[in-house]
Amino acid sequence: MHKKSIVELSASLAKAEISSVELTQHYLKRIKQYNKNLNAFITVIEEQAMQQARLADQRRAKQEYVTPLTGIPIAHKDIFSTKDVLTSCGSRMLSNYIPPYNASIVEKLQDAGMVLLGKTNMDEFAMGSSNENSYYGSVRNPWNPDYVPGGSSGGSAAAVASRIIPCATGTDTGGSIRQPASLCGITGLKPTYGRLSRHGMIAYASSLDSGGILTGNAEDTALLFNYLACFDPKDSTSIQQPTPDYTAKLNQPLDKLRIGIPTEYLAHDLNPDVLNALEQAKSIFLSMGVTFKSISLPHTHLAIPVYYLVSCAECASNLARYDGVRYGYRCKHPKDLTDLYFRSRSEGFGSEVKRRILAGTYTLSGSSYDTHYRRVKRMRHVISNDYQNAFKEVDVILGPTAPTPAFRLGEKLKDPITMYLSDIFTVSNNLAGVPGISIPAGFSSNLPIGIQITGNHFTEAKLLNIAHQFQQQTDWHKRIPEQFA
Amino acid sequence: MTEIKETTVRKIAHAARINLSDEEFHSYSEALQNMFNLAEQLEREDSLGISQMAHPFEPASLTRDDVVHPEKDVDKFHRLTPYFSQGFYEVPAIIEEPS
Repeated sequence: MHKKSIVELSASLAKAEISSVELTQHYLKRIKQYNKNLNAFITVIEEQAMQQARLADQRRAKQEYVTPLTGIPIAHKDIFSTKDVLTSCGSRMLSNYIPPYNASIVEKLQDAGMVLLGKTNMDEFAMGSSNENSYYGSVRNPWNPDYVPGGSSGGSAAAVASRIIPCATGTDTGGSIRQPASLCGITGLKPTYGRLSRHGMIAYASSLDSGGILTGNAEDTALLFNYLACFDPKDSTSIQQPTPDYTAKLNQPLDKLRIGIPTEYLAHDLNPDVLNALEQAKSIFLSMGVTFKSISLPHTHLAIPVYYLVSCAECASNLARYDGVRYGYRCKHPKDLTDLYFRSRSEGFGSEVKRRILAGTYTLSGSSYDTHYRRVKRMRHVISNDYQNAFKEVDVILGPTAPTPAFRLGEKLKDPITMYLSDIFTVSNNLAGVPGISIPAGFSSNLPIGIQITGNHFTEAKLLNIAHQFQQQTDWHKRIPEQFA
Repeated sequence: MTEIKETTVRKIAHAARINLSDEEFHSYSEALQNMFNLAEQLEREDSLGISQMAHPFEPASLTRDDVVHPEKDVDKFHRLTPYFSQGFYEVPAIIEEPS
C-alpha cells in the first residue's frame, strides 16, 4: 500500500478495494517499525487515528461528505496547532502545550476527511536547516541515517521519503519545505505568501512564513493543494483571490514554456553532482519543447544576510510572547517576576533559537535599526524586483534547491554561517513571497538531489504542471530507500 | 564594520530576557559578529531612494462587523497553565504585602 500514490490510494478507497481502517493500520504499523531509528514523529495518536479512519469509512459507505482525500492518512508538522494534541514546535518551551483549537490548515484537511496519524519532528520553532535543533533529538535521513534530512520540516520529509506516511504538512520560512524535500528525494511545495492560512501556525518570521505540503509527487501535491488554498478571514495576511482547480492543468504540454536559469546560480560553488542533475533536467525539459534562457538575479549574493536579519528581527519580536506566564514552559521556583521571565526563556529555548533572538534584538535596537534594519528592508525590495524583472523574460526559473546533497549529522552544527548558506537558493523566494517547488532529479552517492522551479505570485498551477510533466518523464520520485521499500 | 562589543551582547541578552552562561556568551558573541560581518556587504550596496519592503504584499486592511462574539469556553485557555486560579494568572509577588 505504501508504494502507491495518494491518487492511487484514493481510487482504491473509492472502489472499496481497501478501507481507511486498513490503510491507517498499515501506516501506524510502519511508523511503529521505523520511527525509532528515524525519529521523524514527536507524537503518534494511534487511538484517535483509528477513530477517524472508522468515521471516514462510514462517510464513504453512506456517501456523505466524501472527497478524494477522505480516509487518507496525513501527519502535521508539530508547528500547526492541533486541538487536544501536543503541539511542541520542537521546543522545550512548548513541550506541555495542548492547543484548545485547530490551525485552519488542520481544520480544512480534517473537513476533507483526512486521518491525522501524528505530529512530525522539526527544528525548534522552525529555525534550522538540518533538523538537529529539535528538543526531541535529530531526525535521520532515510537514505542514510548518518546524514541530516534537512530542515526545518525534516520530520515531515523523512516520514514521507520512508513512506511511513503518504503526505505531511510543513512550513517554509527560508526553504524549510523545499530543502528537506530535496535532501530526502520527495516533492515539496512552498506556495505564494498568503495563499495558505497562517492561522494556528506558530509564528517564526511572520512576513516570510508559508505553510505547505510534502508528498511523493506533484499530482498528489495538486490534489491536496485544492483543499488547502483559500482565503481565511482568521489570517489578516491571507490573500482574497479565487483559487483554480490545481489538478486541471497538470497534463498541459510544456512546448510554449520559457524557463530561465540564473547565471548567479551556476557561478555558485555547486556540488558537481548537483550541477549534473540540473543539466540532465534541462535536457529532459528541452526534449519536451521548452525554451531556455540565461537570466540574471543579480542580488542573489545578498539574499542570505537580508534573509537572516529580517527573519531574526521578526523572530525576536514573535518569540517575546513566551514569558512563562500564560502557557508554555515555566521555570521551577522563580524568586521574583524578573527571575521567572529570564529563567523560563533561558531554560525553555534551545541554543539556535536564543542565537536568533539575540541577533534580532540587536538588529531592532537603537542605531542598528537605522544602519541595518532599514537597509535590509530596502534590499529586500531590490531582491523582489529582480524576480519581477526576470519574469518579464521567462515564465519560471529553474535552479538547484540546495548547493549540495544531504550532509553528515553534526557536520555544520558548530558553524551557523555555513549552515545558513545551505539555504542560498531558497531564501529569496520567501523574501519576494513567490512560490517554489522542489522535485527529485538525481542522486549523489545514494543521496537524493532536488531541483527547484520558481514562478511568479499565484502560479502554483503552472509549477505543478511543470513538475508533473517532468515526473512523467523521470522516475526519481518513485524511488524509495531500500530498507523502507 | 559593525563591531559587536561584549557590553552590547550583555545588553541585548538583558533586553531579550535571556541569561547567558560564560560559554554561551562567548559562542553567541562570535556567532553574532560573524552574522554581522556577512551583513557588511549590504553596506556596499547603494539602496538610497529604494522604498522599504516589510511584506511581500501590501497588507489588506481587513475589517469585520463590530459584533460581540462571546467565547463559550474561556476556561480552555486558562487550563493551558496550572498557575491560574480565581480568575488570575499566578506569578511571584511584585509588591510586598504590608506587614
